[in-house]
Amino acid sequence: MSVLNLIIDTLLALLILGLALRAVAVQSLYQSAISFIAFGLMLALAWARLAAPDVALAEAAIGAGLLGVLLIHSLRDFAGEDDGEAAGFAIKLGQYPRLPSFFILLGIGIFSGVLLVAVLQMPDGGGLTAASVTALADSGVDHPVTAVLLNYRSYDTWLEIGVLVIAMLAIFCAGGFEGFRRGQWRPRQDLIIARFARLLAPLMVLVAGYLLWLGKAYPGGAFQAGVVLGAAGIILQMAGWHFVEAMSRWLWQWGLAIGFAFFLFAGIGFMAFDLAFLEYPAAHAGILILWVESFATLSIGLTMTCFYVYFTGMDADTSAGANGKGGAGHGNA
Amino acid sequence: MPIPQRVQTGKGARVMETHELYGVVAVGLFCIGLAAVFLCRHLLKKIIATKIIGAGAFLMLISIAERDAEIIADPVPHAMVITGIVVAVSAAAFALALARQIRMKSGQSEFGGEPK
Repeated sequence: MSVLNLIIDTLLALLILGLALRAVAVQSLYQSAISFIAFGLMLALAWARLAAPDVALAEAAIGAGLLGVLLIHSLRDFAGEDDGEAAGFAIKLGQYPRLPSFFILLGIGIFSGVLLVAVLQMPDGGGLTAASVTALADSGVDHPVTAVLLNYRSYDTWLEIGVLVIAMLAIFCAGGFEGFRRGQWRPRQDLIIARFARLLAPLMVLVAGYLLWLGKAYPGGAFQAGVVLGAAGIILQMAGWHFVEAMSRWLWQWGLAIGFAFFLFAGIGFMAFDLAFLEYPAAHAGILILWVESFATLSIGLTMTCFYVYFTGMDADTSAGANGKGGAGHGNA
Repeated sequence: MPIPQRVQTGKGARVMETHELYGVVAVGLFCIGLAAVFLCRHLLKKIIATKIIGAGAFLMLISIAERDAEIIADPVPHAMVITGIVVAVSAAAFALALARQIRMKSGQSEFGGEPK
C-alpha cells in the first residue's frame, strides 16, 4: 500500500468516524440528520476503496438518498416542544432505570479494547473467493457477487426479499393505510420540481434497467437497480404524480409481494424436475436469474417508494386534519 | 470473463494494510453507535445510532472480504452486505414509523429523562 493511498484512506477513516460522532453528539436534530447523510456518502467512498463497487452503489443510493429523505421527513413530526400527557397515553417517566453515563462509557471503552484486539488478531480463514470463482461457470452469470446472491446463496436472498415485505407489513401495522388513500393524482404546478421530475424520472428508470442487465457480468444487479427505481418513484411522488395512490390497492400490494412470490415460484417449480429447492437447471440458469432479478427489482423499488408514501401521506394527513395530532383518526385505518 | 485483475502491490515496508485500517474504523463505528444507543435520549438519535452500529458491522465484513482477496475480493461478504443494506434501511423505516407513532400518541420524543 503506497503512501498516497494510506493518506487518502486515513483521511477517509477520520472523516467517517468524525461524521458518525457528530451525527450522534450534536444537539440539533437537523444537523444530526445531515451529518448522517454525509456519513452515508463517505461510507460509499470507503466501499469503493475496499474494492466493493456493488456495495458502494447500493450504499450511495440508500444511505445518502432514501434514508436521508425519510429522516428529514421524520424531523417535521418531532419539531416543536414535547407536550407531555397531551394525548391518550404518556410514556411513564422514571420506569426506565438509567445507569450513570460514566459506567456506560467505561463498559464500552473496555468492550472496544477487546474488540480491537480481536479484530487485529483475527486468524486467516482463507475466505470463499476461490470456491465462488471455481463454480462461476455453472452459475449462469459472469459476476461473482451476482452468482452468490442469486445462485449459491439464493435461499438467503429470497428470505431477505421476504424481510422487505415483512417490514412493509409491520409499517402498515404501526401506522395503518392512511397514507395510501386513493384519488390523490395532482401534479404540482411548481416549475422546478415538475421539470426536474420529467427530466430525471425516465432517465432513472433507464439506469435501473441498465443496472439490472449489467448485474449479469459487472457490478450491479437487482438490489442496486431496485434502489434506483425506488428513487425514481420517490421523485415522481414528490412532483405530485402520486402513482402509488392512483393504483388500486391490490395492484400495489401484489407489486410489493411479486419479487418474493416469483422467487418462491421459481424455486418450487423446478422441484418437479428432480432439482433441489431453489436449484436452477444449469442450461437456463442465466435467463431464470434475470427473471427473478427483474421481479425482485420491481418489488424493491416499490417498497422503497411505499416507505416514502407512508411518511409523506401521514404528513398530508396531519396538516389537513383539523383535529391535529393525537386525534381520533390516527392509528386505526 | 470481465473479472478485473487486481494490481499486486509490493509487500515492502510493513505499513498498515487498507483492510486493517478499515477494520479499526469498523470497531470505532460499532462502539460510537453502541454508546449513543445508551446515552442519546431522543428516539431519532437512537435510530441513527443503530444505523451506525450496522455500518460498523458491514465495514468489518467488507474489510474481511478485502483481506481474503485473491484475484478478486471475496464475493460472499459483498453479497451479504448488499442485501444487508437494503434490509437495514427497511428496519430503519419501520423504526421511524414506530417513533412517529410514539410521538403522535404520547406527545413525547424520548424515553426516561427527568420527570417534569
